[in-house]
Amino acid sequence: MIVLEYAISGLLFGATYSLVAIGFTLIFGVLNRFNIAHGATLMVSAFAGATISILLGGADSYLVLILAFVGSVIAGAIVGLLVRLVAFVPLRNAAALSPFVTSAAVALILEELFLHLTQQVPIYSVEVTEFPSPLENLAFFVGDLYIRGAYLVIFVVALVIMALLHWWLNHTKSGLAIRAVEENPDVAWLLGINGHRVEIMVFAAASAIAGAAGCLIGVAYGSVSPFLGSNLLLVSFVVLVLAGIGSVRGAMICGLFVGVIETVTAGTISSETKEAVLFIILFAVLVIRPQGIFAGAASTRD
Amino acid sequence: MIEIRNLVAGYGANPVLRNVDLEIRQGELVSVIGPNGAGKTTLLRTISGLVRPSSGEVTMDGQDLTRLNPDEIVALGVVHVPEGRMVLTRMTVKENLMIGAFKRSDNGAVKRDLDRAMGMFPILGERIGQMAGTLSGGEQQMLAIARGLMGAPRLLMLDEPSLGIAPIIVSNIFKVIKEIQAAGVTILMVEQNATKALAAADRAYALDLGSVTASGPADALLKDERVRQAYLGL
Repeated sequence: MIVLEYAISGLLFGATYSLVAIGFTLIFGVLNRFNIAHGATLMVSAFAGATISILLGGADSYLVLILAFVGSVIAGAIVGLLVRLVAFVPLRNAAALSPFVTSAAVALILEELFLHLTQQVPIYSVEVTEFPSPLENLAFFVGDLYIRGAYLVIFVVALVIMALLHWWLNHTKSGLAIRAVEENPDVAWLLGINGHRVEIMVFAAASAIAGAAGCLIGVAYGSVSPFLGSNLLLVSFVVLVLAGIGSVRGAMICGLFVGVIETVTAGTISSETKEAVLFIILFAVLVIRPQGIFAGAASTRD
Repeated sequence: MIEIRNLVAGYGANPVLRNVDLEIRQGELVSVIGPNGAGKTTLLRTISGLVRPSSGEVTMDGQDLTRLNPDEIVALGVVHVPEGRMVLTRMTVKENLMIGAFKRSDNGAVKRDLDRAMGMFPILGERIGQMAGTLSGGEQQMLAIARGLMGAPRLLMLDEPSLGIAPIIVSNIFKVIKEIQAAGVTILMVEQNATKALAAADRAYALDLGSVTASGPADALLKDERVRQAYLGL
C-alpha cells in the first residue's frame, strides 16, 4: 500500500519534470542547441513566485497563489528572452557548442546572484527561502491512500499546460511554423517563416513553462533555493535521454515515469539511492535503445 | 522583372558566383543549366535571401532584394522550391500545402489554390492526410512544387525538379511546369538535365564555375555547338 502511495506521489510530482523537460526539448528542437540556463530560468521564476507570496501573505490565500503563479510564468518568459539575447543571439553563426558554454555561464551567474541575494535581502533566507501557500497542509484520502493536495494541483496544472502546448503545436498557424523550423530551418525561411521570430516565440513559451514548473515545485517543496534549477536540469536530462531528444510527447510520459521511480526508490530504499537507480535505468535504456524510448514516435509527432 | 548585375556571392572567402548577370522578364520560363558545383543552387539561394551576396545587385521591379530577409522576399511573391524536395516529412500533405501559404491571409483564395494544386497533382489529393515522409520521391517533388504554388508566386524558382526521379514522372512534372507558366507565373529553373531544361525554357543561361558562359533563347542554345559539347554531351 505504501509503495502505491509513493508511486502516486511520484506520478503527480513527476509532471513538473515533464514540464521542465518539454521546455528544454522545445528549445533544442528549434535551435538545435542546449539551453543550460533553462534550470536557472526556473529557479529565478520560482523566486519571483515566492517573493510575491511572501510579500502578499500567501500562506492562506488562493488569490495570492494564483498571482504568484502568474508572476513566475511572466518572470520565466522574461528571463528566457534575456538568456536568448545574451547567450544565443550573438553566437548564431558560431560552433554548435558555443551557446552550451555561454548559457552555462548565464546559469552560474544567476545562481551566484541569487545566492548573494538570499544573504542580503531580508525576506529571503540563506539556505532555503520559504514559499508560503495554502496548499502546504492540504491533503486528503482516497480510500486508504494519502494524497497531498499540492501534488494533485501540480498534476492538474501541468496536464492543462501540456494539453495547451499540444493544441498550440498541432492546431495553430504559429505551431505549424514552429514544427517547420524544428524540421528544417532553411526550408521554413523559404516558406516565408521568420526563423528569428519563431526562436523568440519558443524561448518565451519554453521558459514560461519552466517558470510555471518553478512555481509548482516551490509550492510542493514549500521553499526555493538558488540551486533548485541545476538539480532539475540534471533530472530533465535523464528524462530527455530516456524519451529521445526532440520528442515532446516522450518528454511528457518519461517525466512522469522518472517521478515515480524517484519517489518509490526514495521511499522504499533511501533518498540517496534515487539518483543511482535513475542512472542505472538510463544506462540500461542507452544500451538497449540508444535513440530513446520515444525516438520513433517523435517522427510522427501526434 | 528580376535584374541581377555583377553578382558575387558564396560561403566564406571563396565566391561561388563571380560577376553573374542575369535577367528574367515577366511571364518567361528561364533555365539555368550547368554541371554540379557551377553555382546554380547558390544563385537561387541568393535571390531568395538565404545567402547574402558580397557585392552586386538583385532587384525585382526596381526593388533591392539583397537587404531583405527570406520571409520578406517570399511576401513579395518570390518562392523557391529547394533542391532535394525538402518537404516537411513529419507533417501531413495537407499541412505541407497549407504552410506554403504561411504569408497569406486571403483565406478564400488560399482554399481555391489548394483545390487548384490538387487538380494539378491528383495524387496529392489522394494522399492528403498522409505524412509527407511516406510519399515517393516523385510525389514529394510534386508536393514541393504544389507547396510553392500555395505561396501565390509571381516568380517560382525550381531547383533541380528532375533530380532522382523516374523518367516517366519527370515528363509529367515538366508538363505541369509549362502549365504553371501558362497560368501566368514567371519561372526560373535550375537543372542538370540540360536537354529537358532547354526544351522547356524560353531563354537560358549556362553557368560554369560561377560565371555565365552562354546565354540566349533556349532553342539557340540547344543548337549552339559549344553548349552542345559542354552541357549536353553531344
